[in-house]
Amino acid sequence: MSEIKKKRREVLKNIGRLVGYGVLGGVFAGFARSLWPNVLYEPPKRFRIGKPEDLADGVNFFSEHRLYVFKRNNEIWSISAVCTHLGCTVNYVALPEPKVMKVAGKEIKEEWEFHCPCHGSKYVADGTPYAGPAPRPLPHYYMEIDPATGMLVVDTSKEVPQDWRFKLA
Amino acid sequence: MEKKLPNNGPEDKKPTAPQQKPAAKKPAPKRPKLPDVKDDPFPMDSWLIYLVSIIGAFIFGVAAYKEFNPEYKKYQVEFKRLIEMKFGTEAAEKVPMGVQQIWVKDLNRVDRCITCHMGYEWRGLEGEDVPEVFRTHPDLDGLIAKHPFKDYGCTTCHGGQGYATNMKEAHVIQKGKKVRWLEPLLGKEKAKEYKFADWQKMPLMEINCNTCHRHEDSLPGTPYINLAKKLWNEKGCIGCHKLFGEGGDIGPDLTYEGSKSHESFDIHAPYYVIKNGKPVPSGRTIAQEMKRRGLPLSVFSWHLLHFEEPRSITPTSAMPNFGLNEKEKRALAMLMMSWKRVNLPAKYIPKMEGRGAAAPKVDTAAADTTAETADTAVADTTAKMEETPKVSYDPELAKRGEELFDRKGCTACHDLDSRKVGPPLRDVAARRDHEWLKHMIMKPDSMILNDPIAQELLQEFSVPMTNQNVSEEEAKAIIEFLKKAATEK
Amino acid sequence: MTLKERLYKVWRALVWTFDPADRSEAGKAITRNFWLHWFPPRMTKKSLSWSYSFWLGTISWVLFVILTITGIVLMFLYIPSVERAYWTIKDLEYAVSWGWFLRNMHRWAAHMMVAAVFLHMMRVFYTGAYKNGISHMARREINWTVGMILLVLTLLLSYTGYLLPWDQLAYWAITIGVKIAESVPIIGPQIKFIMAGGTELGQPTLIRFYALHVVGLPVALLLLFSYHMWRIRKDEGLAVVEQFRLAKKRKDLQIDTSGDEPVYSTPWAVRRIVLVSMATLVWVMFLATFLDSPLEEPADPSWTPNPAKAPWYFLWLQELLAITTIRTPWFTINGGFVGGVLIPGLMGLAATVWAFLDKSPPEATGVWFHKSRTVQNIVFTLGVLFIVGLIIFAMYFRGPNWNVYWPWAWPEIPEII
Repeated sequence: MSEIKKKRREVLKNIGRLVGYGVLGGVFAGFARSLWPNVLYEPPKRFRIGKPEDLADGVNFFSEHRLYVFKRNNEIWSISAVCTHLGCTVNYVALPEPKVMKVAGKEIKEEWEFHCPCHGSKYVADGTPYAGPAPRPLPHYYMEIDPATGMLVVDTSKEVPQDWRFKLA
Repeated sequence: MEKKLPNNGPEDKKPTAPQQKPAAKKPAPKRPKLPDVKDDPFPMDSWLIYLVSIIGAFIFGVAAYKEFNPEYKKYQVEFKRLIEMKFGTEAAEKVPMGVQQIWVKDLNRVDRCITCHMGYEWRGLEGEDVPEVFRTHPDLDGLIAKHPFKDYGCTTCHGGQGYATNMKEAHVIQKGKKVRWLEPLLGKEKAKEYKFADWQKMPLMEINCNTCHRHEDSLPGTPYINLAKKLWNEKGCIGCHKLFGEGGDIGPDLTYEGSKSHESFDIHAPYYVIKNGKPVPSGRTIAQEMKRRGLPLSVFSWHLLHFEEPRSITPTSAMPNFGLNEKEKRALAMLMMSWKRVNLPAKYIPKMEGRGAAAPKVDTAAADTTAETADTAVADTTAKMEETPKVSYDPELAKRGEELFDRKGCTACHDLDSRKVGPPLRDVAARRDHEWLKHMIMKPDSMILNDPIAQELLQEFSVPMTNQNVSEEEAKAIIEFLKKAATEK
Repeated sequence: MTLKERLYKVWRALVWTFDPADRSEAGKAITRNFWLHWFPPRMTKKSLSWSYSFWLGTISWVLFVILTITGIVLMFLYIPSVERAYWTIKDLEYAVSWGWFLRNMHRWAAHMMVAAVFLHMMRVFYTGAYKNGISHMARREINWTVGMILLVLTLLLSYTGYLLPWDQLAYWAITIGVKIAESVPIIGPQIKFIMAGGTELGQPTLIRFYALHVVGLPVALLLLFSYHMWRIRKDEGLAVVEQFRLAKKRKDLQIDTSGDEPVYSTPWAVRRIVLVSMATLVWVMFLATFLDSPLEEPADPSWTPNPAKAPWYFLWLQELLAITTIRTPWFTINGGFVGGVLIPGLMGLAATVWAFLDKSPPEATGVWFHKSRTVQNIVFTLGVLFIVGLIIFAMYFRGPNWNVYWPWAWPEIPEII
């Protein structure tokens, strides 16, 4: 066998090998891809929480969405109950008497707090953390009225500033 | 791979293995000479591996093509183009790609219809210029406001296979390979198959409306179901059939008729035609009869044939032929199909006014208002009611009457000696006058409206007697039979 | 030493055994490599030929490996609950990337494995490979028996997997299977009770079948398979080598000794294994790409599809048990027992025991259709034809209500609407 022929064989064999590995790799890649879900079975990011007038004055907790919704003086706002540290559900703690806290350079008068049972993070009423490992304030979410049903819709994909309020007409 | 091994391979590298030492002393057993390790005994194997790999690559290529080119992709690309044209590039970028679904946890539904029907809640795609598949769902502010997509999905009303992401299986199109799914899409195509004149309104969807709204007496937008419920009351179906434990036991319980397995309908049984008032085999099976009429082989078609003439399906059926027209048959068949076994979460149960009971409500209000205007002829006959019993009868005619009594389905509700749905009839000929009997047999519906005795009977038995299309001559025969019965007490 | 050299050495340490430089390396390559250590250093060329074994055992093993890999991925995607199982399969079909391919591969590999293991058994019988020839060490009957158990395990694996989609096909096929178990006298009802975890098929059944399918049976199969392979070594190789051994002792028999040449296990036998593995994989991929798996309506105990059929490899039992109910004036024996347990049980037992009873001469070992074994080969063939014939009959000619129909003249079942 001539050198050229031998060389040609080597090249062909390498191509053949490569194709073989390619097939195996492709099949495994396909199998691995199947583990990334294309559809989710989760509650939607936008959901209705009922008519605004049906909300209780003060605190309302929506367990399915882990969301606190507050209503006071015709104003409604929502605070996530998911601790910004590692995702436990924070507890609403009503204070026996209102107190004034100074957090992050601002002074707020508060009647309740949020305490995380997992690692001791504590948040003041507007969701700003003052103790524990929590790195960020609890997010507030955008709300609007669904014109078709007159129900309040929360959109957890849209964050709003802490002083944002939904005003009832 | 000709390279020599590094040191961490086998330590000793003697050129010959022990077995290969020349067998100088022992000449006898001839051992096969060991070949060199580089001598390839199967020279084709390498090439075969590569050949198989290349075939494998082709097959994998086909599989990848199938995976990356699902049917819905072309719809999504087209929809994006449409949005770009109508609302600009920015809007088009918001069009989601890949499988889209509405998950209704409470109803255990996953509807991926919106993977292709992407315009379902885009306002501004209502026009005729938009291809139907992308058009906005009609009545977003009315019907859909009451039945929001996220709480009802699509298939709750439309039927079809929500999980599927290709048209044949999603729309449950039973041409070629069968789609194993029990909820067909109740759209225009289906309505056309059954030759509905108003197929464009997708009338069959009323079936699914009534699956939840079954306890309402009438519902706007469901003309067929409303007609069927009216017929149900008028014809006194409850006399023979039970709904939720209420009603007669002559016919089968119909509470969950719509959930009856399609496998339990034997469409290969003989189909009967009525000759001289008797069912005789037509020589065709039910399936052949359906085909002859251009009906699909289905439970729905079975109901259509059955409502037309119960004894053409079940020759021994006691159910009378109600002389229903085409529309009424369809309406009733739809009512039957809608009575499905569903577990509705409480918040889905429709709100109802008044008592909101099931369909079996006997509408006696009409009878009350017209009772005053009883026509004189009837009043006349009732006066003679207490006359002496007649005992003479025509045996020929009585024999025919006996046949008719059976054939017209009277036995479904009446026995001679015992109370069934209606009163026992042994001595009815003695109790009631000939004319009254004739009227009652021929036109029970108008008697109920006008005759005080008939109304009194309705109060007692609560099920109105139905009009069985009895001719005057037939009525005479039946009366002769009843006279005969009275003498045989 | 540079890092590159270091890494190269590690690489060579891992792969040199597949590419030995000389004879002694070829020998060491086997003993020093975990994956190859159960091979002898050399095999005869005949043992590795296509025509002797058709490589059916290897094919079965490769199918098992494919099943394990696809099965593990499927375990991440499947939920063994009566509420969710069916819908996760629907998701595989419609929403999971490559889900259809995974499922098709798993299903086709499973069907192919049942076929391959059965064909392997047929090959061993026709070549008289359960015989020991003139070897004093070999106990090939034991491996035949182990092989029979492996066949049963393969069937059980396939059968337990059949239930998991929880559709009508699965539900009723398994109902029939469980009823067969129930018809065994005395212990039958108890067997059924623990199989189904109740008196009817439900969540307990599903989780039991699932546990058996993903852990119990594969582990048992793997252990027995290891023993099966180990025994081949202890039995001094494939039965065909007995031919060569005999040829040296008995010149008068004029045994054909072509193929009695040593072949180094590595690289040559290993390469052939790679070839067979690749070909098997590609064949399964081919089936998976072009032939989709069925999924019927969700399981519903209130109606049985007409006809309800067992999986194809149990169809011959279903056909048998439909016609073997014995009625006498004094007692009735359920066909489920006669056709579903007794006949197949006796057939399996006879085939197993025959390996110990076969008195054909040593020269009938390891050779296709030896003339001294003609009668038993015919009997065995009749048995196989009986099974295959019944399967084909039940598959294509049994229609609704288990009546006989031509395959093209099946009565139609009505649609709903």
